[in-house]
Amino acid sequence: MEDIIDEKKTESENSDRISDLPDCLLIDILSLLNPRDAVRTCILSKRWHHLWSFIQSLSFKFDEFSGEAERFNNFVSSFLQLRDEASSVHKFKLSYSVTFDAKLSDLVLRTWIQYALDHKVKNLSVELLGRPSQFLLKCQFHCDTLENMYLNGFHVIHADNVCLPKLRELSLVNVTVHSNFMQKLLSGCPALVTLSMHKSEICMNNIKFGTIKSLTMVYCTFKSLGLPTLSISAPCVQDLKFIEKKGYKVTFNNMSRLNKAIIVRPDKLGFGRTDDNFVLPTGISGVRFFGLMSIYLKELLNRELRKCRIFNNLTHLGLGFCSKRCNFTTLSSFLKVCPNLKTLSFHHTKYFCEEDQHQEKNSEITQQYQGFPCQHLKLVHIDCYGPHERNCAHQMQNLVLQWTKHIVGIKIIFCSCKA
Amino acid sequence: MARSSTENMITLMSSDGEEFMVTEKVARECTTIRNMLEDDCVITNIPLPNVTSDILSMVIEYCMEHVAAAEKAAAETAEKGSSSAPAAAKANKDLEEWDKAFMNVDVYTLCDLILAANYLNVSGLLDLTIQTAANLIKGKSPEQIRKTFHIQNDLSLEEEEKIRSQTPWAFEKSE
Repeated sequence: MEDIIDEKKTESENSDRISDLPDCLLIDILSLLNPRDAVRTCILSKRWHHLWSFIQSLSFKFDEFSGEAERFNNFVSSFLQLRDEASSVHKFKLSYSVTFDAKLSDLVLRTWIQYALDHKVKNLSVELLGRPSQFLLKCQFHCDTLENMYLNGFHVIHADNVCLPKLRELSLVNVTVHSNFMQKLLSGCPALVTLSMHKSEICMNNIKFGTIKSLTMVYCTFKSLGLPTLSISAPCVQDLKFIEKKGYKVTFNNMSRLNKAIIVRPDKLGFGRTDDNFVLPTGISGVRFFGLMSIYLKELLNRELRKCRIFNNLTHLGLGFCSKRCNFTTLSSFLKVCPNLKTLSFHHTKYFCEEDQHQEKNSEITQQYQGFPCQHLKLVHIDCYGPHERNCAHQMQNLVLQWTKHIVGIKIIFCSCKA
Repeated sequence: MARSSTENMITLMSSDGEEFMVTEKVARECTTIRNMLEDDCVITNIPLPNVTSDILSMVIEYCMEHVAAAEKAAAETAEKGSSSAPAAAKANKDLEEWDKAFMNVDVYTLCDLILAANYLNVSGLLDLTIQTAANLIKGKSPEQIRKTFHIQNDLSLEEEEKIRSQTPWAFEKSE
């Protein structure tokens, strides 16, 4: 009896269980492999011969081809040619490192991207890393299924017309964005809510983001006819992240729905400049969360004060690059208009110390500002980036401790962050 | 709607007739069972003719562990008012470790778990088992894969050569 059981067990353990799984599950397994490992399963047995061709999630990485451009190009082209034509591509990801002997032509690249767009792609991600890209992308951006698109490293993107009714998220990195393309894009993507642009060159004077709820612009450069100025109108934006360190003249109009704003301005003093160009967005006084970093913090805060705004909704405030000239007086006045503040954080405090030494002594400050203006404050965060900031951050911590000592239950956290 | 302290128990019956008593909460981790319960809330005995007792007990073990982890996280959040990020990260890591140890099974059991997770629609377990199977294929030669999964090669040498010649770009040297 025991022998029979043992025999049975060995038999079952040696049986080809995986090939009995239904096609859809085997295809799911293959979708998790890199495309080359997936294709190679075609010679396992008759059962596996065509399975790879139905994979709907494709991720081609140049790095996996030890820098051999021709082999990579041949692989991707052949893969797309031989895969099942009727199967859609839900996810298409292409990552290419541009070297000097790049054999990838605009045309080939365009064919691949067009393939994805023509096969009901939902998530499209194309990145061309390496040296500054000269790639030009000219595609028919017509796709009923595309929800998420990420393009990195295109010198120029051209589109005759755009029709992406389901696109919700768009991310452009290292792309030159002309007003012509942007206008077509915005009118052809009625569902677009999240737009982020990183390190991109923006060539226009004004943009109106009609439907965008979350707008991110990080390290972009602005180029337009005449002065580098940009006027942005974004009536639906709730979430704004704008990091720009060159001091371009940018104005944000019509931002009445703003809920969260993170704005980072130059961290170095330009000769004879005080960042006059920059005006905080209209609607900023309605935010719940506000992060502001600028060495011209004093000017920016004072300017806001002059407009006599009350930041009624503001519960989280983060300030950074507090400069020599942004003293406790300015900060104190600003905090007075933030009656509901719960969390306050300071970043890059090294400038704050310099101010202490030159202007106000610790003892004077605490005498002068007894009674912290925000009674609901629960948490103060002081972030210290690297050893050169430690002294200043500690001094600041002591100041804040004294300043807020009468608030019951307040927590002051000193945080050593990696630079 | 307040939950009574004595939670509803559900009996799951495997294909070989073994019965497993589980809390409704654990049973609900299986979307297939959750749908049955939502269609008919008085149901207490569910036969699962596609799942053997060995596999069902493993699926239940997985669901119990994940329910317990979620409950622990929820309790901590309620206690402290907010979840602390490092504690949550540690809990996640512990659960990942548990999953990893749980996947230390032979390929035969793994395939049965894939089928059961698919049939019972336990998305976490399906993702985990599918990923484990993919990891067993990753970077291996066809011969190694056949050996790992006991796949019978029913292709003749000529047929295999023919397929290779159709896709030479896939069989070039790998690094």
